[in-house]
Amino acid sequence: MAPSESTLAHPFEDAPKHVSPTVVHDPVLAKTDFKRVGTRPLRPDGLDKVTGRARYGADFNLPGQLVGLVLRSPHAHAKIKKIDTSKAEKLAGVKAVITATDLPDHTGGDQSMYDILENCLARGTAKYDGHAVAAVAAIDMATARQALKLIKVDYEVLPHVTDVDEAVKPSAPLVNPKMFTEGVEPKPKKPSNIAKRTEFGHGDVDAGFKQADIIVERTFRTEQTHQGYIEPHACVASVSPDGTGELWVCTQGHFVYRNHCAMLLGMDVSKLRVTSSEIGGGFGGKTHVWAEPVALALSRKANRPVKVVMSREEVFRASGPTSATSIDVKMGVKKDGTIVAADATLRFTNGPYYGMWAELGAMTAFACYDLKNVRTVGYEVFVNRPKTAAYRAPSAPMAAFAVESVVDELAHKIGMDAVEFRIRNAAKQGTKSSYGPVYGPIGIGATLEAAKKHPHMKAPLGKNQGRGMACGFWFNFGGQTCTDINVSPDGSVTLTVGTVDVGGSRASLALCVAEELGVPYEQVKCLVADTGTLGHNDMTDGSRGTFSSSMAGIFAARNAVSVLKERAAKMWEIPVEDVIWEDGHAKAKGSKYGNLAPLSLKEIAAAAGNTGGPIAGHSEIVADGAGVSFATHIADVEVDPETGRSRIVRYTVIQDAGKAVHPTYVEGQYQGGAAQGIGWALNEEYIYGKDGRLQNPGFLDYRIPVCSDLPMIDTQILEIPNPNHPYGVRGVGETSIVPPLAAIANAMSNAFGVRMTHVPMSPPRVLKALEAAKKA
Amino acid sequence: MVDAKTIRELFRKLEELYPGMAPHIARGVAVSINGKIYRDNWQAELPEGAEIYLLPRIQGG
Repeated sequence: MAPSESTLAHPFEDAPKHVSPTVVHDPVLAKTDFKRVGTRPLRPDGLDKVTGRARYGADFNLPGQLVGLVLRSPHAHAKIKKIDTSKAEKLAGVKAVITATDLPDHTGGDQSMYDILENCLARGTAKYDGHAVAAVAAIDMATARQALKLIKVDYEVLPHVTDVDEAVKPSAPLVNPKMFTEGVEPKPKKPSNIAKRTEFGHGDVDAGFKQADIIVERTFRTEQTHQGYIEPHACVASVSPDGTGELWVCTQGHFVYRNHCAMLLGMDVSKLRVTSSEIGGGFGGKTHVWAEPVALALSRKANRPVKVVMSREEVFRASGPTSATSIDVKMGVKKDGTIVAADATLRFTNGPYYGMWAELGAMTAFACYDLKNVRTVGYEVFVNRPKTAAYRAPSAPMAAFAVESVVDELAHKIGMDAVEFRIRNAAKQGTKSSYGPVYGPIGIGATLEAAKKHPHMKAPLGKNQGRGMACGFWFNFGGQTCTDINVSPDGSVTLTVGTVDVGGSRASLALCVAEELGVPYEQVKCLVADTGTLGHNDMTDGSRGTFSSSMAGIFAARNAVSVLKERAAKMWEIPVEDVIWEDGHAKAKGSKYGNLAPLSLKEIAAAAGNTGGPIAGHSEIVADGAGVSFATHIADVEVDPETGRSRIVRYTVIQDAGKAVHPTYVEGQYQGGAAQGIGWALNEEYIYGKDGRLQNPGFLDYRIPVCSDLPMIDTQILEIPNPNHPYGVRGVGETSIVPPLAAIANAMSNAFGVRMTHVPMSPPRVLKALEAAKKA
Repeated sequence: MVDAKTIRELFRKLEELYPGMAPHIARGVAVSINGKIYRDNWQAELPEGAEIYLLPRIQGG
């Protein structure tokens, strides 16, 4: 049975004619009779956001609030011999000055938390340009700035290293002299900037290469990029002398921020209440505390609320960008198009602290393919750069850039169409993935088949234009989730969740609960609760927000329906076993109740006071079974051979969503990830000087794409249901950033026959590559 | 060969048999049971003959 295809109304009236978003349904989806899920109602937060009423991190204010500012290291690597805060403390209007001594170590041997503590305020050594060394709280910004100037730090400048390939050399300056490489035998006797080695794979790679007719081997580099969220980090902290505290903050996970801040401040978790604001983007960068513990420590010392808002320069220098990388890929193929061996070595910068970034690259690199012989090795590399943080499908885009470039080159070398070559080698249900487990139902093949049929693939190209395509993978995950449903006396429903709404989850979650209860979408209001209101919720990361909270919301709704049926039974004075729930109504089953008219949710709610009190449903779960996600992208790129400037002419995203709860948001995620990937591919990069200082900490010199840089990005949603979710939902937020780097590189290669191996493919690099090709 | 009926039991026995795994388990390990990945659920049952994989606990963005 072939999938059915329906073209839905496009939300952008001025979209080009070729942009026609479609949702392709897989017929195996167990629940197909959706009435609300799959529609496109208005977003509940839209009006507030476009009229300026929405409150973001910097919009919270408290009486008596102080201004908090952070003093940062001007050196890439320096021993802090002494910090003299006496003059700053004496300045009129200064209420508190803190250094690392005001944040004693409460981490109890937890290395990950100790790293966060040290990153919040340097302890003895400044490890990168921008590393926080002290902070002040003062009555106004001018006083706080003056106080920062009065703090005297005696530094002993140390040798530094910022480049990934330089850092792995034995002669490189050590970022952490106590770091001995993990994951190698025998255990090293000398410290190194390589923090950890990991390896994944199966089969016999060397034997596989012996079977190959053609082998391609290349080295790639990608530069460090920032998530580029428009809203900088901001918070207001208030710690009372009684030991309780409150934090209003822009975050992707206020429960996790609460737990981390409480540990670092030595507080009971229950005594710190954290409220999340609206969020102007996070993409992984707000899964981690940066200045929040500092704000709390300042407030505790000053006994006044303290507001800390990072400047854009601080965000670039001292929050968490993604890794810079250096990746070797070797793949072998037979003339019939079968990939017989694949091998990759991935070196990813971690900043000065331990991470799992190369490991994630190693796991994702070949995940799209069904390979008999595959091996990936990852090296976590310490450098004097900011602490690396997650960025949307962390590490997968860089790995995909390298692997998908080689895949394209192999296809060309054996004279096979790039799509057909990928279809031939694509992973499918039952494939042993390159990172270990066997896949269940997955959508990589479906995205490739859809790409093959897509009109974009046949559209004519203009002068200096090339077309490329690439695939991408991301795991998705679930996690701890706690949700409440409360039915109001008038029958309206409040859905309370603990996952921050980053990409429109409130609308999607309300749709799922409305579907389950059988009431109109408008009858359900979804709120994000503070940490004092619900049990722990993991962060909105890993594409888990809608997946996890919809699962918990559906279960909470089912619990509420049980209560509603009990109440209806009491109203009718019949056994609850004789009551069913259909279309938002309790119905008495059986002919003996033929004269009982169905009771609506509103009618049952109105009588709640007489049938047992408030009506609610609750759910606390670990949402396991998030389905993996695959995407295929098609890019048309035009390159000006005189300037090296590139322009994306046309772009198409095809991705499996499991079930698109609110297709407009799903399309938005697809388009947003592609836009970020395009910026990463063409322009964005951290540029460090020889002194180890960041040269471009601002949007004038770090160029993210703006609307005029991008075409309308076409989308196609595939629905291959996730069998582990009651509605078949998969996460959709991250995978769309994975293919663009490679898709654009492949397009450039097809346009000029020049293989780009260094991202970003900025005008100077493109020109250099074109000139080198001419000379060759 | 480790004989375990749940993830909790698997972790406990792995730590007993291979003490070097303890810090990795403490740092966070996910378990794939027949392709379905569990991040936190100690009570998840391990069916006889199931394909079991220990994976790092993934971070997301």
